Amino acid sequence: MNQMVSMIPITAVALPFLIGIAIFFTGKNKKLMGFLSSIAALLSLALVSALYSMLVRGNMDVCCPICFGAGFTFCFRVDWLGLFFAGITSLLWVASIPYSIKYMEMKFPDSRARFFGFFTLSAATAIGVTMAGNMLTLFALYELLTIFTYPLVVHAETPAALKAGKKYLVYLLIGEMFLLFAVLSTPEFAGPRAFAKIGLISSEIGSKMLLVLFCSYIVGFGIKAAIFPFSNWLPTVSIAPTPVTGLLHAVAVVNVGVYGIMRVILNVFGIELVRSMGVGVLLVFISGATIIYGSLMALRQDDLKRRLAFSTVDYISYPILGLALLSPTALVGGLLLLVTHAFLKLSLFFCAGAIDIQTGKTKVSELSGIGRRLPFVSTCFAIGSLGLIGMPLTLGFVGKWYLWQGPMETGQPSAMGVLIAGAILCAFYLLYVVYVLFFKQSNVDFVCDLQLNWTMLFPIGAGVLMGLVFGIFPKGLLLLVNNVTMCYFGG
Amino acid sequence: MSFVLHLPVLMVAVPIAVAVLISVLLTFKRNIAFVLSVLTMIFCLISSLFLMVKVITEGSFVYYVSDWPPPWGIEIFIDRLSVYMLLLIAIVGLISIIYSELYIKKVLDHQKIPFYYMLVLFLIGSIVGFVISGDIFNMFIFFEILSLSSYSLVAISGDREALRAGFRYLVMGIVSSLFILLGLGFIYSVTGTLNFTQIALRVKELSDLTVIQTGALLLIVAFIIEAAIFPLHVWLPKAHGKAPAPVSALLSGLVIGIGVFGMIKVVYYILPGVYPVSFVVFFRGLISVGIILGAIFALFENDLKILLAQSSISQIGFAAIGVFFFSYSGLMGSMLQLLNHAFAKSALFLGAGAVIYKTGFRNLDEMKGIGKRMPITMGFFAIGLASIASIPMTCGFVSKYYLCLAAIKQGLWGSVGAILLGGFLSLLYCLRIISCIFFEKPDSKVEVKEAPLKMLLPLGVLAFLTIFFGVFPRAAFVLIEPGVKEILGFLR
Amino acid sequence: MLKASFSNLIYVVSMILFLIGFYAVAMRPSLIKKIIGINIMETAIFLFLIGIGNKKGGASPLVVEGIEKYVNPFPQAMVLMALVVGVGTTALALILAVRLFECENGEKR
Repeated sequence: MNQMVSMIPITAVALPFLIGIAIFFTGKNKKLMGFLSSIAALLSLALVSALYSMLVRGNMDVCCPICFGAGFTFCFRVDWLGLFFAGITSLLWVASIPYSIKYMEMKFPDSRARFFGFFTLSAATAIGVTMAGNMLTLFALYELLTIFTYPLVVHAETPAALKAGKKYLVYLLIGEMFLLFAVLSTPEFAGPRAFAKIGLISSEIGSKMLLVLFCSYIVGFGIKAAIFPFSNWLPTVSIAPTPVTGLLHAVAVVNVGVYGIMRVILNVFGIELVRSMGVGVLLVFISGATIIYGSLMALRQDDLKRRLAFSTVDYISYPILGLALLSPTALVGGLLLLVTHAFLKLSLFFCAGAIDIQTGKTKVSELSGIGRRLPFVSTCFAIGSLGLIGMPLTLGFVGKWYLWQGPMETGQPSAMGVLIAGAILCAFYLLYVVYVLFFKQSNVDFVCDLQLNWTMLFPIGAGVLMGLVFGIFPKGLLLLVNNVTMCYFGG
Repeated sequence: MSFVLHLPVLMVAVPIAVAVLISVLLTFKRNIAFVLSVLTMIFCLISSLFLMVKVITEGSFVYYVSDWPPPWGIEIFIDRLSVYMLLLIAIVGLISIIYSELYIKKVLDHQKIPFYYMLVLFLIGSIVGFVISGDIFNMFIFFEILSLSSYSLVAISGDREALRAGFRYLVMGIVSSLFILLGLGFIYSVTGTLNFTQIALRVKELSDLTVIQTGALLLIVAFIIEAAIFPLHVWLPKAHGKAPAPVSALLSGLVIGIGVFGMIKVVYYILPGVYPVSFVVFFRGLISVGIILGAIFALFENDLKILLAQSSISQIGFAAIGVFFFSYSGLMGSMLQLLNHAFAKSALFLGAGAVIYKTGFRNLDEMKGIGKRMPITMGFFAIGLASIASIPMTCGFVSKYYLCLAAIKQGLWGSVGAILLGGFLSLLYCLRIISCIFFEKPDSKVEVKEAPLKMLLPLGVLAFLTIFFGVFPRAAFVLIEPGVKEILGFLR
Repeated sequence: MLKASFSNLIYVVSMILFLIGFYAVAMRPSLIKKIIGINIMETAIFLFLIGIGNKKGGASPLVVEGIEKYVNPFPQAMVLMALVVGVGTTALALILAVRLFECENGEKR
């Protein structure tokens, strides 16, 4: 692979970051604030697409090391895996901006400068994590992401929000403690272009130490990806404003966790070493447990956002499962499901937010009859749910098609069982909401006091539409995903 | 550039001379004390910048006061690390003095103001003397002056709590300086000299190290008291919590850091390589406990300034633990942590002082939601907290990164655990403060405005420096990287 | 053991004094007794330092014809300096104690 030194990766992180800082000083000037937020999102999307075209043209990895002194090197580098995640985040970031501006105006008119400042900073750091070139950069941005999302979680400033914020931080910071240990124990963690290599760790350091490091990494990244014993923070933070729950806690933050686990297995350890250590099964077990746990908990939730958050817990484990099966087909499936989840779950969360704004209803049991009042939102919700379940003609179907081949290839029937159970449970907890929306008779009459305008409806529609379009024409996306897997599985 | 050679002595002499001058002038022209102190500190800052250029280009040098070589004369030993410390002292000193003007007028009687500046200058002069002196006895003398002015500064407000805190500090401090005297007696009895380099040479020829080890132990314990490491930290929370804010900034930012620098002097300059493993393990254990306990105390404290003081115990533990790693990364981490603590903790104390100046609030409960009324002051305060909590892009992250790296490289899992857990707990107490001052709803409606510019500016400079050295730690590496390599060379 | 103690009498005495002083500082609640304890500790250390410089049969360190053996003057100079510092510290300690006493008993000057 050719190497090319370019400033674009760092610009794609630093420019939105600086704009985010500038937003804090806009104060009462709402127009400027909205303008700067959109500019930041658009800029990052433009730069990410520029990087994409560079990768497509020369298959180069673009990197930009900044040495701060002995053993303290920051490096930004873009390869297919990173670009894949950066692309999802930046695309959805742009899509969610109009919705967020409108939503915040209606729901939380106070201290919006702080909200959009931290929102931009979080999204920029989330993109930065995926462009990190070595473990040190990755860790630094990863921790910054946690810190920057905290003010967003507690934005409502109610005691419940503060409590949720505390829980959020304690969970994630404990994870980061493990992660820091693992990162610093990895040789070459700060080397420039460390991620250009496969296998930063050699098996020479002893099998016990290898296992300790592997577990620390999985705990460190896994807490952010909400894997089973550590998944409770995610539903708790659904108390945050909907754009945060939607973009950050269903897309950016959890994706960063998944990205971390992928980096660890694909780059730090390497497929071969993971295979010889036999820890793939461990990861299959963990992600399977997460899928079952998330689905079962989602079934029991009455609060719509909490239900969706548990559904995130469930769904975000599919890519991890796909990775853990250590087969290229399953990984392709996992990555496709990640895209599905990002688009559709964002739409679902935005639907929930729109329903909340329109009618003030947040509980599933109260939603009866809303389908007729809010046809567009409800239809989008239904299509999104079907997409997540994996109906044909949606991207979810394509993803599951590939993912389900994984257990057959590698001969792990238990994983197959988990997939089937997960799909059934997923259908139950999402379709029940759709059922309530459309078919349950409402006995309470309510008033729609606000008219939603296109700024809020557009992102919802766009997300669902993209899920459908990619489901019908999956070829372009498959090409990208194949590029990612080819780097690590060859052929 | 030969005048640069005389600058270290002048950096001691000028503040002390000005202090004496102020105490003579004090019957009339009270305002002149402030102006004179600021000018003195600017002189110190410029001199240390000159010294920095000198040591970067030509390396460390030795200076004999009035050309008398040791063992008769006083030797001054300037290397990169001491210049680094001098820079920290000059910057934090200057900033604290500028900040003092308004604050001190509010909290102290008018007659005491010149005395305050006098004591601060004595403190600065003696710290400089402590850092540059090349023999233990001078170290002892400067340590005594330093301690005397610190006790007086803690107790200067004259209220009961402050006097008590000052007296307790005084008792512990005197014991600590007597330990130094005893320790240097032990060392002198076997080596016959008090000069650093000569002691280091003689020690190599000795066959029985018991006496030297006793001496070293006494010296280290003395500095442990001064640096407020775990079992001997009891004086610190009240002393730093009850002193006026700029004094707390100086004491917490510089003086306890000087305790750690004293340890570095003992362990690397004076008596390198005489420590049995059990010593080192014992001290590392103590410091680890201190790191965690200090952070836990801070987690449950309500008085903001005492909370910050408790956090100092934990933070200075980070700096001290690196001394006992005997490795490049460990010492780098130590020195960076001294810088982090000097800037960030001073910024925090000055920020807490700004709140006290404006509202009189001392407890965290009263400060709910104050971040919205004083966004700029509290913004700088938050940057200081971020650095204490070792968030990336602040210098706290760089220092803890090096410390943790050093511990992992040597396989010291206990220390690794202590550093990680300590960092985690620091994050928790910092976030507790942040959530309190920014996100909680205030109980009372009090009209508060932003702190005056003369207080904001020093705070801003400190916050800027914390971020600057976090993003460009290379700026600090210029001095400490070769400096650390040089003193590690003494071990061999 | 006993003989060794006798030959090093000065060190033994200074250690005992040091411990007595330390006991007073650490254990006695009275501020004045603490200050006295500090002074006893100081004296003990001075004794120790003088003891280090002492030589059996040495003359005082003044250059006089015909005397070869001098006591080491260096520790004595150190003790002199430390004495000065000690007086200063004691003075400060006493001032603080007096002010504290005044404060606690509600007396104002």
